[in-house]
Amino acid sequence: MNPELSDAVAASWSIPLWASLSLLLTAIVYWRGWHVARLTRPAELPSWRAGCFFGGLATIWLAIASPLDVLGSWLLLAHMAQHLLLMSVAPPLLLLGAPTVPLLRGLPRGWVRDGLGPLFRSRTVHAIARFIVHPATGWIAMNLAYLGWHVPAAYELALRSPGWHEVEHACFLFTSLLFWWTVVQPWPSRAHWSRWAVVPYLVSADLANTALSAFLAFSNRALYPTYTAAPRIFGLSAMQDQAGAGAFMWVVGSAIYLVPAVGVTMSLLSRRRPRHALVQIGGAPAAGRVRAAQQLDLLRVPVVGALLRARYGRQLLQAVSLLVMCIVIAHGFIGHPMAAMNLAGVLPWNIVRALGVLALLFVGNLFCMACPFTLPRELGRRFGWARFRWPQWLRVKWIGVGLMVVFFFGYERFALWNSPARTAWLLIAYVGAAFLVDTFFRGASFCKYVCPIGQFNFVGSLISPTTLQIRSASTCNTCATRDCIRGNTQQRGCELELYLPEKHSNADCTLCMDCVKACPHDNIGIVTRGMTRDVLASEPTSSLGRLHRRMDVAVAALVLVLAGFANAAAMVGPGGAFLAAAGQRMPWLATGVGSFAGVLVVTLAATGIVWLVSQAGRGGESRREAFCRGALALVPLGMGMWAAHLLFHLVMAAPALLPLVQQSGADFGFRWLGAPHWSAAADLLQGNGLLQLQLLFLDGGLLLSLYLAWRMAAGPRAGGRLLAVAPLVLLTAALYAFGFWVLLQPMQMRGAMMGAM
Amino acid sequence: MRQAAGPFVVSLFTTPESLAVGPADVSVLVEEQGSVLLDADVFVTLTPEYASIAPVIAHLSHSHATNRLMEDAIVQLPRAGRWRAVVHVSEAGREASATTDLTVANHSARRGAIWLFAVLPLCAIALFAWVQTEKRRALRARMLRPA
Repeated sequence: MNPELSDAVAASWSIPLWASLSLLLTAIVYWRGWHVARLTRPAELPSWRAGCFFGGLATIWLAIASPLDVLGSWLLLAHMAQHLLLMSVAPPLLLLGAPTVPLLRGLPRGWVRDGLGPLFRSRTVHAIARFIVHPATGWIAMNLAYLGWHVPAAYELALRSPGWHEVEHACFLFTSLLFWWTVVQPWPSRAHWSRWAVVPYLVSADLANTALSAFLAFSNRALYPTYTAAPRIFGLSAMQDQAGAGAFMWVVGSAIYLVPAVGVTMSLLSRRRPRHALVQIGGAPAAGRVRAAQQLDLLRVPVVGALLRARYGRQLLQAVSLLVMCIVIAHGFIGHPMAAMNLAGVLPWNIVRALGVLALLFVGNLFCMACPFTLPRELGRRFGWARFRWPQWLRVKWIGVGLMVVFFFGYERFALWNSPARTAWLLIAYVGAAFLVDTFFRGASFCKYVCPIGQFNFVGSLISPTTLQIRSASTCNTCATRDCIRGNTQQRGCELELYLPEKHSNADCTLCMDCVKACPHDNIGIVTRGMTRDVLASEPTSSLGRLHRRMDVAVAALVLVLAGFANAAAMVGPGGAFLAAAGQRMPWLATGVGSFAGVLVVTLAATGIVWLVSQAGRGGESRREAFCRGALALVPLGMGMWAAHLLFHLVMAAPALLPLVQQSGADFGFRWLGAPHWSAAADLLQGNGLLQLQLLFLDGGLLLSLYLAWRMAAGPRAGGRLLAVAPLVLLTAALYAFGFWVLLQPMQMRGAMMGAM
Repeated sequence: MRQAAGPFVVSLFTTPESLAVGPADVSVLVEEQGSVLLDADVFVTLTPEYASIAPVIAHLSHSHATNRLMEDAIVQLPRAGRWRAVVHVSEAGREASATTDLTVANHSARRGAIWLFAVLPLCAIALFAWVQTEKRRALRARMLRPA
């Protein structure tokens, strides 16, 4: 093979997005469950089992992402090697990892207990499972798939159609898992037949393999026309390729069946091993250790934990973001007027906003943690003017909610995304406001009562998968100093007035880490938890009370949801056309006052609709509580829409970051960064991958919202509960359908420089 | 596409990312010596490579664009395949054009990419309903079981 060809082959990796993500997710779940299950079952789950499982996942990924996949359409030999990996290498490795228990223990406990538990108790499911893992089912399914897909018509179909090719691979993998189940018999499954039956089971499967291999090797015609027409790049004729593939399957395939057959025979003839004794864990209560191991504590993760707990860790993050913000402001004033070629047009609206929302969904309120606006206030506090307490009558979220509405309105009305200079002024105003409020008022009054971004993040973080909470209640019960809220001589306490033992929600938490640093017992962590916990919780949380009684929090949630859909709809063609037509019919609506009045009317109307639909699910609670619950139940759908929409901007803008930095360097006079080469900005996600990811976010939001609506609806009987939840479900479904339609529309290029064609 | 065309630099943007039969957004940015031209007259002509159908011609305008530095139009792409896009720019008596090729996928490719995501919530809801039914059945069985 010439060097250019070998280089091209080596570079022909085609990474399938969804399969790679699925494998990664499976690896994470297994790893988590293996850690937990190993505490009580170390003999059944030694390290080599985890190694086998990860090896199996890696083999699948190699089979579908490596150059083998590309070569498979030209060389039968390469295709057979790919099939061998999927049928005979990956499945036994996965099963040697004893995956059942680790995968179940790796899932959130609530899902297994409430979701899968009833299924595992179902007789129907038991019958289906018994049938699926029966040796006869495995043997027949694997051999049918193996022989069936090698029939020329089926094989050609798979070669012609990528979709059928994936179906073929899935058939091979899943039927082989069933076949190898009987051979490996992964713990804790029990054998249906005597272990001796495994020997003829394997040998008979080898006979089928031998028959097909011999047919391929000795056939005097090329069985698959695609390979006859394919370029013979390696100097092998189609017949030579076919004979080679047959020989490869015969030799390697037979070895894969016969070696385990010999191994099983040897183990049966050797002395029987003693049964494992029950493992005692010296003195420590295993259940407690298991519970602790199930919760990932970010503050105990190396490097990240050390940075967050460091005395000036947060300030370091804020200083970096403040520096970036200063550059953005400067570039907003002196840089290119085209938003896509200006840091102020891209960084705040397309990158930071999107990363902030994704962080809320996957980690927590990281934007507030690294907030650049609140660092300058530390300077103001040195003047000692912060003597006033925030007025009692203003200790609600209404100012913040109002500013959220103004912010979203101003974003569209003044086309902030399209004006770097206006964006720069907005950032300056934001820093100024934070500086003024917190210079004269004690605590973090700006964050808690004024900041619209903060209110958005507080509501969004209600469904974050992590929370700042105490590690041990007994430690707090015996604590006399309460440094986490009062502070001490070295470290101030929580400025948002959240007392950690009574903090049951993410609302109002900026992850500033003050409480972590102040706690003398090292009793605070950032731990994982269920995403629905905050919304479902009924106990009062520190400083806010019961979330279900807070109208201001509920309206903030509604504004977040409405803005998510309105913001996305305004940037698609039909949305823009609708607004333009409305402006032409009612000219007063196109004026500043008129459009703001329109926004207020829509917000009030939406509030009224949610009020009405949530009353049906009311049990013994008040109308206000029912409304608050209904509004909070919509938060996941709203966040799903925000994530789907902003992901579009992130994917479009991220590849243009390098030329953007070069452009800003040139604008500031640093020409050594090089001239911006805009057309080199290629898309991050090719094809429909972006749309699929967007729809996945929306689907996730819908399901979580429906689940919350179901859980919060009153009524013990299923029929009554269905009726109670129906109006809210219909509203949620209508919003979802609208969001789905919006995502399918061509979105206009706004502030982002899109990839070159 | 970002191309020098006569005295202008023309950038053409299209969405959706994978163009498919149906509506598509076409935006054009015209620059001259580093500054954006706002009064250029811009037409886009889209011609299918092999099909014998009439070309799609769109007059772009700022009024359609949410980004006012650009000129924009929504066009209907009637057929899948390779299309040639020619952007004609005229400003103060000067004219120039830039050309690029586009690939338009058919409806089924787009439908194939999204159908799973429309069905996914329904499957999840069905599974949830089944779980709830099993839970209720188990609860009822426990209640009926003699103590």
